[in-house]
Amino acid sequence: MSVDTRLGCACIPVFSLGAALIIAGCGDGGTGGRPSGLPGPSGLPPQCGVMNQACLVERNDAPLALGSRTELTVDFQNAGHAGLDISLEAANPDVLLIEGWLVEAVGNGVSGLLVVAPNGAVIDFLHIWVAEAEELRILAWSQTGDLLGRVQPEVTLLVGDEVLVSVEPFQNAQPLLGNFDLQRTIVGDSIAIVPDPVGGLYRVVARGEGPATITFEALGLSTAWQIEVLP
Amino acid sequence: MRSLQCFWAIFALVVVALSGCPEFAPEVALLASTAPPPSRTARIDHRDVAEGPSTLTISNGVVMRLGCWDSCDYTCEQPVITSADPGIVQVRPTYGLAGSSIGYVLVATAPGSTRLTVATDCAEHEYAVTVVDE
Repeated sequence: MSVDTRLGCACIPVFSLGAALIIAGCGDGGTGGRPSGLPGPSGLPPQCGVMNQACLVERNDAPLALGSRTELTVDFQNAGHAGLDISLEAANPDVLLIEGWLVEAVGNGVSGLLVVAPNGAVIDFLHIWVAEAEELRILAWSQTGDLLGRVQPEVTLLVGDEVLVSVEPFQNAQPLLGNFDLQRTIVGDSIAIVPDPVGGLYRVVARGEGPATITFEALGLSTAWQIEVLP
Repeated sequence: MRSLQCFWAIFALVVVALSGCPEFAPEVALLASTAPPPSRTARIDHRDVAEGPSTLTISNGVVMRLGCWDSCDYTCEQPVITSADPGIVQVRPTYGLAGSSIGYVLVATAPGSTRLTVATDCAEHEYAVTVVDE
């Protein structure tokens, strides 16, 4: 059994009149959550804050999975000024828990996420949804980062084959965002799993003939993948 | 007879001309400048004092930008917006760059009922606030 943890790579650029504040975040390595650096299953346009000062531009186009978290960091492009010491606040701490730049989804529902200046003034705000995951799906990716689709629950590989996959939480047809602890269990010696250098991806390698079962567990859910490796 | 009708017609015109426009009491009102997220509520129902209390209904966790209007100069300069219970709804100023005016946002932080007051040099008005848990 193996456990990986990845803290997110969500990005929230903040643009203001006459100055540009950029909040962008990338987390640590590990797995669990949508792969970093890839477009992801849903490629929706950026969502800007209601005061048009902040825009979510990468992988913030869906609800956060309940129990997941994402880490944000701030980068300022503020010509002629030092950057403000801004902070984040949650309107409903029963939904979002903020610790510095770490946003944790702790309850179902919606909460405003306030970007706040040192004097308490609100620069902009966005609404973040939190939803409970109903299933984990195993998604296959090409070597160039294109999403190929959902893997079949039972597959057949040849010795030497490699499959690049991610494990993502879904509610109905909606992929959910956030990062989480992901456990994997392998039964059988015919395959090996190598975490990919790109966070969130697994490289599944068929090493020898025989059956194997991979079980992924996260957010109180599990999914099993039956693999038969042929000579 | 005809001259009498003419007299009353002229009299009525004179009365209307001298009476001028009807006078209204100074008034200030809050406006919702932003829409709530889908399936959530952020609504202001403004009424004249004689029509009953004005109401503001907002979902817990929702943030709403407030606009303001008053009948004196229509600009509502420097309004003072006060929440009777900041534990239910908070009034927060918005960040204003040099030259831009400061506005306000309303943050619904807990379900419950309270009052919100807006006051300017022109007038003052109170809203019955309900934060709904949905």
